[in-house]
Amino acid sequence: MPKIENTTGMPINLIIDELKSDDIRKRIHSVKHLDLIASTIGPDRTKNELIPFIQELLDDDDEVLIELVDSLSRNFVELVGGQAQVLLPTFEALCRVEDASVREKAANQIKKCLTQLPDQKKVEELSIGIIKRLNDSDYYMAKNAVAILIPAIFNQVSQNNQNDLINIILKLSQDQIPQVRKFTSMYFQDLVKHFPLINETFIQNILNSFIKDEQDFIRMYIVDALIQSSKTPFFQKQQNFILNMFKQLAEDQSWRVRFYFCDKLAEIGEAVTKDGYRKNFQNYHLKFLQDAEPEMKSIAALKIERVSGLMDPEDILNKLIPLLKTIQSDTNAFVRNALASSVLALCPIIGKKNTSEQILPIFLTLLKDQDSEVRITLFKKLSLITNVLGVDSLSQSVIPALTELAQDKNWRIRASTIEVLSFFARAIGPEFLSDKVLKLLLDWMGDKVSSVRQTAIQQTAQLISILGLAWADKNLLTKIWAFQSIQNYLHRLTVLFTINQITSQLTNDYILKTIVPILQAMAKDSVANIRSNVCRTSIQLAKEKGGNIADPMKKILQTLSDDQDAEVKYQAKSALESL
Amino acid sequence: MKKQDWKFMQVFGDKASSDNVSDEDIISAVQFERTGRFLGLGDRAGRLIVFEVPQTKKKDKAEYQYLTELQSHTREFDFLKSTDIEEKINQIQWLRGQGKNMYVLTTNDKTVKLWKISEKNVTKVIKPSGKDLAMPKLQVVESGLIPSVRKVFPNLHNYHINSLTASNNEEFVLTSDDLKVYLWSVEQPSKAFVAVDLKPENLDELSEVITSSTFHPTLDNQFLYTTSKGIIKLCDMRKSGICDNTAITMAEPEDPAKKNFFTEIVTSISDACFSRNGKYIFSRDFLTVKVWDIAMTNKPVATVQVFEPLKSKLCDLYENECIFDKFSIASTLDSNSFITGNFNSTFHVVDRMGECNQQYELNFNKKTIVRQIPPKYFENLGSSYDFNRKVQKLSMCQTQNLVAIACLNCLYFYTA
Repeated sequence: MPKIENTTGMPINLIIDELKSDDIRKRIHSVKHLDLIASTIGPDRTKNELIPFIQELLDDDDEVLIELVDSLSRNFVELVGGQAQVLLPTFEALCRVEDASVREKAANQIKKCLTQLPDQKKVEELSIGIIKRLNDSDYYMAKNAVAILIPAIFNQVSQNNQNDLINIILKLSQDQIPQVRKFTSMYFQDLVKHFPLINETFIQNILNSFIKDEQDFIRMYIVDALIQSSKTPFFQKQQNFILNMFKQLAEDQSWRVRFYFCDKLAEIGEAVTKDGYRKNFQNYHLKFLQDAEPEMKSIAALKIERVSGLMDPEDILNKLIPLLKTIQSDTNAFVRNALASSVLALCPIIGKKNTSEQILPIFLTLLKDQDSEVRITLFKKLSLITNVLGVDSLSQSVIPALTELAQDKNWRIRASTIEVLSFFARAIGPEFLSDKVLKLLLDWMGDKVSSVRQTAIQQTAQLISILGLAWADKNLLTKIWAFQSIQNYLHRLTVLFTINQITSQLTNDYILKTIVPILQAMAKDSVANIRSNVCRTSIQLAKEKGGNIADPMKKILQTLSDDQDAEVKYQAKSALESL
Repeated sequence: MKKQDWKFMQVFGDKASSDNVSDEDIISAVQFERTGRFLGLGDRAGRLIVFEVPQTKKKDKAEYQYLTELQSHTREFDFLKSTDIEEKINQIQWLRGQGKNMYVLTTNDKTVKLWKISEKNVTKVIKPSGKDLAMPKLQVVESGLIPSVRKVFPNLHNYHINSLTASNNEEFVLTSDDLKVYLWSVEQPSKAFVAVDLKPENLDELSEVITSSTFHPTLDNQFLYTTSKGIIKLCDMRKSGICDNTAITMAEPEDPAKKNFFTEIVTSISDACFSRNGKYIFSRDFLTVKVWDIAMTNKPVATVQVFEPLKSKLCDLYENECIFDKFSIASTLDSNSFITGNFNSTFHVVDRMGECNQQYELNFNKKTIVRQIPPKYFENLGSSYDFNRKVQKLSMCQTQNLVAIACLNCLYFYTA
């Protein structure tokens, strides 16, 4: 592998020393560049000196450890000359730390290293050793890695070892510390994939003990294990067992467990097939839409988009849509927001007539929602309804709503609304971008708040890439170039910033014809800031476009290198030098 | 019910230091670790001091010894509000240890920190890496119990934090200030969930604030919070996200006949706890302790006057502001009694029916001085009655009948 270049500006020995600096930022910086150190000293020394030294870093703050595990995950196997097992002790030690994300990454890296070892017997020996040591550790958090590793290597080890691993999982599932049971529950979904190596009775026993657990976060993850087991032959044999357990979770006393169940409804539906979903789970979804807890209504509303594909269109019309009428006026904005993001997915399924009768009223109500977030969410899914009902019929209601959002007092809302335009351009096409809508874009380009202007400029670039330069020039750009004559210099700057943003999309002809005259005129602007930005724009155009553009740009820069303002002069001169 | 006999076991501190106590040494928080092996103490100087019972083979109760200390919080300045943030430790909560490592949560008015105390070797570089790019040579400079901050829970509370408890499964931490109760995840301090929000639309209409909160001792989904109006609310996290809507309320209706100028102040609950078995709630306000049976929420099963002579002194207590002092309360292991502090270096052990009120006097002579306080008791509190010797903080051990009681800068242990 090629040597890594030192771009830090520091000598390597200093980077090495700073691994033990008192300043945490320096330690983090050094840890980030471990690959550079390793590459410089070579694989043998990395193996014999650097890796053992890393042991001294393991007692550090979480921030450093997060950086460490990330750093070691990047091509370090190559850096130790391909001998992945050299890294195993370090990752094993990182499986014992307090931070959960570090432990999980370290365990996953162990998995990766093991796959890179050629000798299967060695893999078995090493992995069983790691698992047993972590399991016996005083640190109960080390058992997190055990729960991750056992499913990963289960099918690669001998029968005897498999029995040992089963016993470990059994013990972990009954551990008195709730967090240990939680780890076991979270990763049980990976273990059930090995059915029939893992036998039926074992799966049932474990799931039965988890469902009785008093801790919500242990019962919760059974959903995942059931989904995975439904994808194996276990489902055929124990369909009733699985379905009953799903139902218990859907009816759980704790709303957090019901929430997790609802969140996974689409996956559950896929696993049990449409018929299974309609027969067993559809009613739960409908019930959740009426739950007393707002978080439940919200997740159920959010899922409409994905479960609608599993439902019979008749049921959607008769059972689902009536419930939505109460949700559209729920007191909680986040519930209405969830509805806005997924209700329009129903339109293509129920057809034009039903959409017009049933969904359109909901759409129009949400369009006038007092919460701007709800309205914006709705806009992002607009194409789903316009594809069914056609753009024209909707523009009467949509354009005023868009106009209102575009003039919202809160600048962040105005900025978010701008982004909606590219959705329209992409999904619906240029017909939607009528004069009225384009006027909004121009208003945004002249907004008081600079962030809004910036977003508008970015959107212009997006629109050009979707709809093409010719369209943009005719409908938009000409009007933007007119900003040159606005009295407030900030708006004249917009012209230059726009050119910067769309450089890559401009043709050389267009530049020669339209842009060069603009720059020539603005090079004579009375405000120095403008002239300074002309320098920047010119050099950018020259560098990116080259060819016949370079000369006119040089001429402009030459004019400016005699400018009365020192800053402009300096910029022009250094720009010319770099060309 | 068997009467509990508590006896003096140990004291840290002496008369001399106690008479000339400096403000910063005053103990502001006490908490046993869950196995009883360690005890944590917080003071107004922002220090956390840890005591331990050394593990010996002797069967009789060994004594606590000083183990280590750390500077948990320091005085800060809140630039937005132009006020000081005191470093005084308000609450301590121990988490399960791992191996030889201890984990403890501490909080001042604004910030909760998770500390880890572990056996470590602190090393320093004695020979740096040179042209040969060799690894630096290290040397151990310090070895022993070193504290380090593992997590800092971001400054979320607008008002002063009054309580900090961890759920039994240690997944969640509950903190409360005047208007909100927050639920934190121990794993991810960046996110907090508002479990209760008492903020009115118009802050001028504010009439009730939250005074304390605590988790149920064994059920991880339940917690209670108390208010300045003497109301207790029992919340279940399983029923709903915002817990206040589905909470069970326990409050005694106000008797308009007995109302006087001080009623509003003295009904504010200073601390409340569940009994160890989770069936009762003991709530402490300035003059009384109310015992509630969770199954009966319309009135308490008993109301105990802690020390009736204080009733006649309310005017003086208002003048010297002692009427605003807050006292802690703890349940005994068998759930049949509770222990709470009082003025004049005394604390009370009372059974939950309110029939037997024993007042213990803390002293430096290693004696157990106790007397029975009969109902309807009156005593003229003379000038020797010291309102400055307040026994405000105490902690009950979860594994044996052992209580740690703090008075000013001294720490006492009593056992039964």
